[in-house]
Amino acid sequence: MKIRINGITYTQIKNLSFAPEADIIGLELPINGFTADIITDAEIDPGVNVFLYDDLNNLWAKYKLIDSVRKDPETLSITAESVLRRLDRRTMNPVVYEDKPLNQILALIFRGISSNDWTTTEAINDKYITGYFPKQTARERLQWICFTCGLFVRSFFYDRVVIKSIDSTVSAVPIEKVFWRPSLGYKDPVTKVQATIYSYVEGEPQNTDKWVQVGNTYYIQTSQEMSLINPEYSDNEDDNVVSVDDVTIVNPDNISDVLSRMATYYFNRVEVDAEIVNNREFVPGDKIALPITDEDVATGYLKSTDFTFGLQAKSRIKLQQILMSKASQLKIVYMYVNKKLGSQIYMLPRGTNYQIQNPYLDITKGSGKNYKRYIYFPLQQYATGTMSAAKVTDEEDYDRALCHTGKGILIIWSVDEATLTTSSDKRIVEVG
Amino acid sequence: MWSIDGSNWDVPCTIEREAEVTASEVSGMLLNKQYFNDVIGTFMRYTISLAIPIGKESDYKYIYELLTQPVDAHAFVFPYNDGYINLTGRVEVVSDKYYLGVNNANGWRGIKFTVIANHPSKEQNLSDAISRGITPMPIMQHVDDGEVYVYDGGWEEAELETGKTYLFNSNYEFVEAAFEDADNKEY
Repeated sequence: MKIRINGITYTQIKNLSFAPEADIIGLELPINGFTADIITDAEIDPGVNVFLYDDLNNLWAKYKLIDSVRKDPETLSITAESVLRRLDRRTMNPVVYEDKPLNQILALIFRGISSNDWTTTEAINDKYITGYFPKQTARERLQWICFTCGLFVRSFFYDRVVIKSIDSTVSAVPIEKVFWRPSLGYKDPVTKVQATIYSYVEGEPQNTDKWVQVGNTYYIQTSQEMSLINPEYSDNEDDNVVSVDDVTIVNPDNISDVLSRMATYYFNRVEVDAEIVNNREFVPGDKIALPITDEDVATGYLKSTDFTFGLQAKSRIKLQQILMSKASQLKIVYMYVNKKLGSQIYMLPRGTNYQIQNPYLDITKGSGKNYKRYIYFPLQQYATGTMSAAKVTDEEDYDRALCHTGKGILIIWSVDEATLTTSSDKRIVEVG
Repeated sequence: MWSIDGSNWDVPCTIEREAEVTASEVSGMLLNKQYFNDVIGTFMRYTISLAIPIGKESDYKYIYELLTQPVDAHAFVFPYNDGYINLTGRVEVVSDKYYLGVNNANGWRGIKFTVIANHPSKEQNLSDAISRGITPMPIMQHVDDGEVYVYDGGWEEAELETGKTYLFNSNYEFVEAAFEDADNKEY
């Protein structure tokens, strides 16, 4: 791993701690960050961007340096955090919205933060907010929005914070990336989830009315509790209630989705802890299928990834909202003409349809003058099928992209109108 | 012959070498009962037993004092197969013995020390390690038509536009933004 600050790349790093998290239910908004000791005698002032890369120059995080402390003459301890920390320092005034586009509200929340540091996915463009925000920090306001709209914040593996929808596509973890052995944990069952719905009407409040004030305008507040009972605990529904009563943008239009998400999350109290080889493929917030034995697979949302770095990286992960299934083995074989390039084994729930992205394959051979590097691309983007038997083999066809000797330029072959010209000292790419 | 910090030593000695193939703590047993070995590199370890002849006490003292300097590392050259290997390595323990002989033939003898290389003499890179497992190059998962990647220690995406020409130097670094008239451009 390496860290780049102010255009200088530091490769001598010790004690790197990087454990990004995402909260899909939206009641927490992890800031995320990392700490590390870098070997340098230079001083670095906080406030600048800090980039964390792996040895292939893949970006793992772009954060702000918030602290640097000299540990000894050669070692500087740094702490970097995502821009979400800045939202903690901003207080936002009370406001009442009616069908306010979410994008506009997010722009206000992130006001003063460069658009290079945050973004949204297209999936949230059709979301609107109705309700009342009290005086609160910008981070709490964002947290409320995530909870109400089914969003989460991804503040890692990308050069900016992304506000995105909860993913429903399942990524499968190959069995040869799962360390011995995942464990299941059970929390006390939640017997009921409950939320309060709020409505606001502009007017002059009477004595018995509850009201809020925004500037010189008064809004009369009405509220109503709604709950969903865990069907397995209908006789003792009040034993363990999760209640969200203060989020005043929960309204009659979104209460159904809110309670449904809460029930799905809290009525399912199984968690899985595991260690996997994770070179950045599995990201907090992802929905993943993880084999936990030869016969069982757990499907759930990735909450946390605590990384350990060697040449490759592994992460201790925690999966939530688990669905357990009996597993079948899917072997995907990557074929180039009649040659087997490699294979990958997955354990997937029996009877389900699968759709797994076929990877680009980067295969090197030889060394020195005989060094060759081949990139193969899949003819189909996804391997798809049904887990109809205990063992399923799926052959996926590949074609060679650009085979290249030594360093140079790689052009993805599908750019068929591009040409590559080489000479002893130049590499020229013409596109189109 | 071997050398330390540029000083050559051609004295009777035995040299033992060990190559330690070192894996990181990422290694471990997998669920499919295969061992995942995350090898970082091969580190050399040389153990030298010197037999400095009697009468060369000044050489003996010199090498003893040099080896026991409290420094982070020394630069060594040791025999390796048919040639030599350069190592930056640390010396953690230097041992010898004092002999009480007759006719005042007393003295320190038999310096023995071990050099542990601070850097791997052989290493694999992350790309090779990942490709053996046939996993995707992470940055290429979302590749689209028209994207171009430039190798600069790792693959990096370059934003190139259709209809334009781009120049990279012999070190494969991107040296020129798009220009319209490639034919009239002198490289």
